[in-house]
Amino acid sequence: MAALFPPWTNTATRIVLLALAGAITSAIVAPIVYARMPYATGAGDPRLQPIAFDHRHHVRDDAIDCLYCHEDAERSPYAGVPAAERCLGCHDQIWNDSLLIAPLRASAATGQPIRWQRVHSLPDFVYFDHSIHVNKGIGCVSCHGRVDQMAAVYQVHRLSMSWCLDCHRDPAPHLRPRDQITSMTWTADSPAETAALADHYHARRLTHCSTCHR
Amino acid sequence: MSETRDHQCDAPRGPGLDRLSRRAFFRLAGAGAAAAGFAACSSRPARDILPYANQPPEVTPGVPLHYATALVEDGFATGEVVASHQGRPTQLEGNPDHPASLGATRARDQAAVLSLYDPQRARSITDRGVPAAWSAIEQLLAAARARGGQGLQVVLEPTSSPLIVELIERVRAALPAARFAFWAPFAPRAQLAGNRLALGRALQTQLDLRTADAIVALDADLVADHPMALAHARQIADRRRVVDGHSAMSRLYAVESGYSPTGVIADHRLRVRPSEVERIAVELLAAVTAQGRPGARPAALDAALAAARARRAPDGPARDAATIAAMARDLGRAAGRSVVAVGDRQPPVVHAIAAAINAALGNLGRTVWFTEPVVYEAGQPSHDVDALRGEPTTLLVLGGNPAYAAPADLGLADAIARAPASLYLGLYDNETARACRFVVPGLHDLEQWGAARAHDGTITPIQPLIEPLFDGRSVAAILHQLLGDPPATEHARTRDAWARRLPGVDHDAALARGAVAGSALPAVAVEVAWHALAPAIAAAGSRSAPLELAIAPHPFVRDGRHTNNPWLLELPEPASQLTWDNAAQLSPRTAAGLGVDTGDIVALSVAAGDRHDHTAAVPVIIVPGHADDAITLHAGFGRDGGERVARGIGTSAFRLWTTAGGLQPAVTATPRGDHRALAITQTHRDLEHRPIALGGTLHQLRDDAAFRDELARQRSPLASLLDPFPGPFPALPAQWAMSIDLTTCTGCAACVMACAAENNTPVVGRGQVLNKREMHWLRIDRYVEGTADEPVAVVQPMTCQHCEQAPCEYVCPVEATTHSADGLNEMTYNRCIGTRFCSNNCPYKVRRFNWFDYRDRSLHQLASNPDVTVRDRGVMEKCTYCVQRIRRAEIDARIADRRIGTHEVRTACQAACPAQAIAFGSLTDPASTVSEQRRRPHSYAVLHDQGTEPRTRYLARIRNPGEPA
Repeated sequence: MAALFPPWTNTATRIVLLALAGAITSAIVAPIVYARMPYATGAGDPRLQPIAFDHRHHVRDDAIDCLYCHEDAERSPYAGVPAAERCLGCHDQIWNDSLLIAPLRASAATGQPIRWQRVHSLPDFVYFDHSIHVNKGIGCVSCHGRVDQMAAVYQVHRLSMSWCLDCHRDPAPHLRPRDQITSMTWTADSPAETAALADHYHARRLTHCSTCHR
Repeated sequence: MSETRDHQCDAPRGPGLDRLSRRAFFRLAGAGAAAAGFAACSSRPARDILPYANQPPEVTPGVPLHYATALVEDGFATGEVVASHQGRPTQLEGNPDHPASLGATRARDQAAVLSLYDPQRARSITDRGVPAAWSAIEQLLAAARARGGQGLQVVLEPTSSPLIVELIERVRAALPAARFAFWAPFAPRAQLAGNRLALGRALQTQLDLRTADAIVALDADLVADHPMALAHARQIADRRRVVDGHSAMSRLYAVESGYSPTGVIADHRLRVRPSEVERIAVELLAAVTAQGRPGARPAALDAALAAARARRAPDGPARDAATIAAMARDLGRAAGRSVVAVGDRQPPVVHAIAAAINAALGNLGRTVWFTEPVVYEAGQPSHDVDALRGEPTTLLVLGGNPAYAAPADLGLADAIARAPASLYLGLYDNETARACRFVVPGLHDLEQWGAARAHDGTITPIQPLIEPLFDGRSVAAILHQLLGDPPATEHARTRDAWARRLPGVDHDAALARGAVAGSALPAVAVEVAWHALAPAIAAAGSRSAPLELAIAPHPFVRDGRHTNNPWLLELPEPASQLTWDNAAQLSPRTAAGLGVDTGDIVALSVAAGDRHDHTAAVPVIIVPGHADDAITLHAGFGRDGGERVARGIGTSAFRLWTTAGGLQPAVTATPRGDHRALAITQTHRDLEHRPIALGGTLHQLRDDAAFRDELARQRSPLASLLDPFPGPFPALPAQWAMSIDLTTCTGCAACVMACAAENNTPVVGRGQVLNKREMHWLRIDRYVEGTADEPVAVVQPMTCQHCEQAPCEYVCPVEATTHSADGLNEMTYNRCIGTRFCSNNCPYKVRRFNWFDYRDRSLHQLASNPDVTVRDRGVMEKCTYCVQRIRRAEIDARIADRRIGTHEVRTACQAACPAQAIAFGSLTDPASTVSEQRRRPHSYAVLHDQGTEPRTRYLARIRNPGEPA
């Protein structure tokens, strides 16, 4: 009697088994990889804004402090986007006839808000609070990157939970003096300085769920 | 009738899965899987940020502002502080500076924010249902003005607003022929009539319970159904806080037919039919005046008492006599520091007798005093039923709902419809609106400017939290238009009228505080007119019927004004824990006599001899502790207007209200033989000898070592295989804990509503409550102890106990419920996969599961608290100790580099509680109330034997019964 399975079926079985193992592995690994890809996290993806606002110019060339426009960052969960009247504080003097800021003048005239596009977006079950981070020595650049080098702002980091926890597990290396919060370039001179900052801010590990999820 | 109809708020049942063929099922499943794949392909959704164009200087986006204003009910103001997120009011809390609130709120006050955003509110001016212009209203009012008010009838809700009163007086001066009526079905009338009888003037009774050592409540729900209920609850509780067995405690007697929150905290409760209260009042007067205080018993009284007592039922229960004697003894011992209070459903003579007893005891000027009525023309004919009669040519109904909430024999709906020109101003397209020609959207309390007085007379300014959502008009705007002088703006009108009527009172300062300090009405000197009173006493106690009905305002929806509010419909009624319905409350014995059980429908009928049908078919609900041969039926249901939530729920009690029979008529009940499933949240009321709701007497706590040992056993360490909880607590962070005092808790459910409002807990609808799927994180369990004849209810707020050794945490496969460093049992919704293991393993049954997507996407969602996640389908949720408030306080404290203040964190339930029965704080702070209360001898942990070591502890229910007289 001829063999039920010809010899090549051995190879076929091996290939099928390997493919099956590969499929199962990739079914697990692929979402993990995908969730970390910039495509999923939105990192590096500049948003088209109603006004081509250039942070490079305002931050680097004009040396306007972050908190001049995002003033609520110190006292509110939200850093805030400036009201049209804040922009016009300068721009009714300079570049006041520019077509680029026509939406701004329209907003101030009609009272209708400008529809800025959100760049850094956290899920609704995450309660991030700017005020505590800013007041406890976490600089703007730590999360938002070198905004002073961005023409159109994009998200730099993953903003995933594991990324948050990297710092929440050990905040000390990320701390900076209160007066250097908005600095884009400050770095600690020595581990001793970092340790002193951690002591100054009473920095502590905060990893229980209700720190952020409520 | 709607016996079997489920409410439309019920969760969807899905697309008829039972009818689906197997093939169709797989087709749908495949399509679903494919769709899910496509959904995952999308990158992040675009989301807008909308900054202000011109940012108001006081607004910081993300940080709520708080404004003081007031809610007004039947003319009486209760001060509130409302949180506003960038112009969106989201939550009410009591105003500590307001005498009618003292910082607490009623359940229905909490729910006001949902009514504000009710998508079914009247949205535009209509003329017989067709949208109309304001000019049509102007013409209507101009025509009425041109006739000098001839044939004009204006029906308003009772008002205490100095600003509205000024307008009414101006209208009366300009249009002398105009007639005014003031109508609210449950506005106090009997009290004013009774005081007129006893004191010669229609005066309003004021109570100060801060010094009251003995209180007798005669059918008076002092702590829940009174314009000053919040203040009363606080004052009574302050005299009843037990620190140890040597604490001084007041003694509270409740004489009532239904089981009210006042009855729950009473030391002695006499359950009697409503009509028997008269007899008891007479007996009490006789006993008190016989105590030999000088000048306390005029001769005229003897004859009257003899006449009244001659009619007493020969077989009057001895139990009553003993209790009455004990009451009189305790009142006498506390003369000058005692109170006899009467509920407004009782006839005037009982109020008169109470005034006389208080006078005889020397309480006047101390615990009881009298003021002029706060409400304009209260006690005068314009507030009577008769003022609603008449055939006006122009009828203006400015608020209220008289077509529904009035004696049925008046036939007001027909009478209103007969009026040639009629206008209704109100929030809803209700029964009265449907009878009127023109409907003008009214203003919610949170949308308007104005003023009102609290029950004690305190002037309370009202300010809007938001622009009118639906082009609403105020009562004042209509009256101004009637005068032909429309004001520029509501604010200008209010400011100008305030300056005229209240000169020298700074409006801005009053707005900032929410009340004008020192503006309470002065006490009026009174003298009991015994000779006028004697004939009334002689005639008292003649009322009696085999079966009596008490038509009572529903504790939450009141007279029907809040029936379109799903929060309030789903809030379990305290005595019966019934939701989404009203039912005839009666005692087990009465039910047995009728041969009915809970849910059986009886036809209640009041004999009236007019052409109207005074029959109501209502389900029965058995309430242990209810008086025998009496039925309590809550009003506010059986609504027939355009409000879609309210429509078709329950049966209107007002159909049984006749001008002759009043609100406590004789009634016949006939079982109909059919049945309606009632959505009751707790059906088993026996403690089964388990250590859940513990209690005893003050005497036991002082002298009974066995009782104290038993309580101590319920908090002392247990042998355990698990590692013991590592104490003592570290100094930082705070260690949060709660303490709930069962002695002062009345079970009024203000905390339950506050919790739902704070934590965005969804409404699930009647059908899901029937499936035991209600979502309230905090519930009030009600147990019945005592004998079958004298049942005693014990109420216990029950919520997540935040166990140190939490059984839920061990069984969660995904660590969605974990323990925080500061002692919270955390629930992380985004981790939860909905196994429900945690709920099954929770001995307290306090976890709630989202069986469906209950999210309300209507305008209602504006009432959501932005600091709390709105949960999706398939996740477990439960009390978090208001973790969002804790984290907020923590962040504020850390930014300011200080420790969290002892009383800085207040949970929503704690803030709402009028009796301050809930304490919250840190165990690491020795000054905190919870730390102190944990050291008390009657502090215990529920189900301590389970070894869960709950962070929430209870103070056992301590009563202070007197020795038998």
